[in-house]
Amino acid sequence: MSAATSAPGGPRRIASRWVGLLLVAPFLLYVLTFLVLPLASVVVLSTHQVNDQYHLEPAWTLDNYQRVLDPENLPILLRSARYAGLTSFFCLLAGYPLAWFIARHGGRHKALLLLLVMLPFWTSYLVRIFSWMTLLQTEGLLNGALLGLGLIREPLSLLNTPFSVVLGLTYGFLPFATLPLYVALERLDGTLLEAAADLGARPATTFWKVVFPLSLPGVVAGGLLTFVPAMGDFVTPEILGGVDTLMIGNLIQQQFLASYDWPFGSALSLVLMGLMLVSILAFLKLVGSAESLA
Amino acid sequence: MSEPVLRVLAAHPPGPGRREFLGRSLAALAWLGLSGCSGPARRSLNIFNYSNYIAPGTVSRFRSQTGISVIYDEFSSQDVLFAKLKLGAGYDLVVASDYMLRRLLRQQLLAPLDDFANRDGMMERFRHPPWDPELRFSVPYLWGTTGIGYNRRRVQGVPDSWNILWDPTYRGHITMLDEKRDTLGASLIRLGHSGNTVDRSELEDASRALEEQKPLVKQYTNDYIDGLARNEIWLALAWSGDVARARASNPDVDYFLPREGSFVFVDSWCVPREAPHPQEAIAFLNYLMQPEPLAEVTNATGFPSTLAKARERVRPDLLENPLGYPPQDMLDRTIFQADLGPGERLWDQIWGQLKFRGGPSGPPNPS
Repeated sequence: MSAATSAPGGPRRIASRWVGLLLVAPFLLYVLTFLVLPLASVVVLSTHQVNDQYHLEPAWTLDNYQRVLDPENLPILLRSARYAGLTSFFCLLAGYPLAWFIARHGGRHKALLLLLVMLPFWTSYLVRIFSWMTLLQTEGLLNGALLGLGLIREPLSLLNTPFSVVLGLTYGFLPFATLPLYVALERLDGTLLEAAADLGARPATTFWKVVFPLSLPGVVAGGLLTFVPAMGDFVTPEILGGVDTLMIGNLIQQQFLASYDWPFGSALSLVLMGLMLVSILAFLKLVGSAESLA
Repeated sequence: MSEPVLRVLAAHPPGPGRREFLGRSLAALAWLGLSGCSGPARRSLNIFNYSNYIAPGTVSRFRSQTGISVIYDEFSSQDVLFAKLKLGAGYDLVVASDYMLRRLLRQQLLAPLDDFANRDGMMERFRHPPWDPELRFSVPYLWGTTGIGYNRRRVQGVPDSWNILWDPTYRGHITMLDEKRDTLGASLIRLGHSGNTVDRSELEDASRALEEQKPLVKQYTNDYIDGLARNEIWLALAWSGDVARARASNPDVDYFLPREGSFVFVDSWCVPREAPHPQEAIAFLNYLMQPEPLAEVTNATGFPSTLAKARERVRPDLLENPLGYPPQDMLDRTIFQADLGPGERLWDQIWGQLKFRGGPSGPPNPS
């Protein structure tokens, strides 16, 4: 007690420390309940085993991780990364002009336009993905229009292909790329563009030398915000995909809902999480050093 | 780490979209634990059934007759049912297929149905099923067969064999079931093996044949009714009643049971051991398992019921037709999907490999 009172600052500082702790307590409790505990239970589950009677047994084994690292799983992981990467790329490609338009030419309608970007989320994702089936199928709207215009003679097989999966993912996650890009472009100082033009830069040069580097934080954020969820998605490949387009999310879902192999599913999720974390940190570090060089 | 990046990430949380997305991806887990929170004051009943497996008016009529409120939930695969029952999802009444019923019984997940007495009018074939000979735990409900639904205008001739599903003419217009027992089973039967085998090399044969078939296949899915009806799917490994539904909106759709043999199934109502409202479950069964409501279900779903008397009120096009009530000589070629015991893990493994990694590697089996 005497040590406490003689400490610099005295009892008041100790009291304020308690107040501080009290203030963060709800947040700590939240993190503990909704992040730490579920994650811990997944970790514990991943060491279990399922016996022949479909009972879960605590085996305290690392076998499930060994199964995850089986090279047979590599193709599906690479396929998922490829689809997610393409999704990110196309989201940025489509989101950039959209964000530019809203940020630079939106005028007083900016808020409304942003709302419109978010509007699709008012409808269930499932419904929206199903409606892509109607658009893409052999006798669907797109094929009908192309046939009607005489651009093609035979209907195209668009559905149940890698194309339809990446299209669905891009459609689904486009707003996640648009919003960070909007923020980055909105902050862009217009006088810089004028300065570039005054110094004789063509629009393309201005874009690559001035606009794009300044919007890089938005590009990185938008890329990550689309890559991460696309990597884990299982709804889109299940509905729009075919026999050879299933992703890692489907493999995990299969363990939980079909094969009743929760331990393997847990190990899969944890390894995926670790991989994503490491690669994102590496990526951000890379971008960070590239930025400081520039 | 790049400071501006962090700033953007922090200042602009992804918004409701992301949350919606996260919610969805976690839904598979979340709903496992969250169902069945109804209050005790009102009489209520939680039902978990296959999708498209009841008549549109069945539940509402029961509700208005008894005052019991019903929470009606659907699944599309038996494995989902199992996963939920293992967690004690709070259902009072579920529909289980024959082989799943055995697994549920073995795990003692079901309650006896001693209070349900109306088993007299049951068709003889279903009165003493091998998995529950005295029908103590299950009430057989609807039955049907696994066969091939096809489009008469797109498929040449009158097909009679599983081989048609391997015919490259129909590339991209074939679907197989997202159900290991049916899809691997059909491939096994086609190769002359038993549809209930647990022999690894036979299963790998079947899986290899499916692997070869993959380039022709549009999807492994249980959602093919619409595709058949819209001429999108020309050949589907299918359940009889589903094809009947597709044909109701497209007369070109037809169905056959392959000559090599196939599966017959019966789905039964069961009450989980932990059911919070077992009495209401019995009340529902007493209401449903009568000729009139059952015939209504058959007319709506295309699946025949187990009650002999209900047959009199069934749509004529479902009678004496492989789609509804197949003739005896056809039924003689079908078998039940047996309980595989410990062998089911092997099926799971081979099925998972086929679906995700492109089947077993190595040269084909010399046998």
